[in-house]
Amino acid sequence: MELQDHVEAFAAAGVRVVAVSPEPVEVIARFTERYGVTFPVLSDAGSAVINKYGILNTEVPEDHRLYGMPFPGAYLVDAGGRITQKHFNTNYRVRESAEMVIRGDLGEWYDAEGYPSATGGSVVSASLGSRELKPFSRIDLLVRIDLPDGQHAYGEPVPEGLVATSVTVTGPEELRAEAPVMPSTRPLFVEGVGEELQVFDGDIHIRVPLSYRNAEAPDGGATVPIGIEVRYQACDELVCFLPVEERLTLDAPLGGHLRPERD
Amino acid sequence: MTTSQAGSRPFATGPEMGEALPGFTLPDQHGNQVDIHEARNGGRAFVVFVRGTSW
Repeated sequence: MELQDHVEAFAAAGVRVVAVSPEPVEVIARFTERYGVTFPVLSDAGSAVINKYGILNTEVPEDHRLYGMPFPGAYLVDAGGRITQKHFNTNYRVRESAEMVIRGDLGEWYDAEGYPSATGGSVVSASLGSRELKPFSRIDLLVRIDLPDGQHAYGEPVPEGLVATSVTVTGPEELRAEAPVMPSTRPLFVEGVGEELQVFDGDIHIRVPLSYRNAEAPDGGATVPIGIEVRYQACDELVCFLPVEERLTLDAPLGGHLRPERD
Repeated sequence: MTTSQAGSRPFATGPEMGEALPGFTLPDQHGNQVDIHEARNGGRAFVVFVRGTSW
């Protein structure tokens, strides 16, 4: 199970991984032993919990051997037991979901070997939330603005004369970028402006969900060029620096989508 | 509980963000009964519902 690859990263972030399968204990035990699965895989044979959650896949007829399986998906639960993230969709893939949680929701940032990335100067960088772009799957692009200590950048709205932080993604026609997910801001009273503005501090992580709607890369190549334009203006307690506009290109390898997944 | 529309098919996604994860106790691969909230041990958890392990 692909989750095993991420157990250490989850553990480092203080997150316990638990899977629930509709199969009997014996079937799960054979599988976990064979693939060296170390986290608990719980058996919901009879689908009582799946039914309680209301996620029984009702498209499977009652007399079918696969009846009882859930619509697959995942919940991230905080220390108080509340759901802070949900990943459910028709093309749910546990690997992408785990990577999105580790790299986005948990605020962890690891530049794992083999993850495509691009750097512009010492402050701005971007990396793909997976080893490759998969046709018709949702993958995160992570853009990082790592400001020197004591500096901040601005969130919307900004008064005239200041530039708000923004990320714009461009690429071939088949590349679709959703609205960037910005981290939360804090209010800061700025003397020079005479009003309270919303600011990002320090190391700013911005997530842009991407999907690529073609099985082929453009021009018969093996990679999809992703253009990333980052704008921000850094200020510290005393001065504001000139607005910065960085342009990066990340060449994302295009993976196959017909390969069977073992989840 | 809600369903989201994926194409024209309704797709159930269970309890909502911000709600408490409904508790349950099920056997793990070793046959031990595991209470999901006890297993968290006061920490965070990533709880994944899979269609099955073996296919």
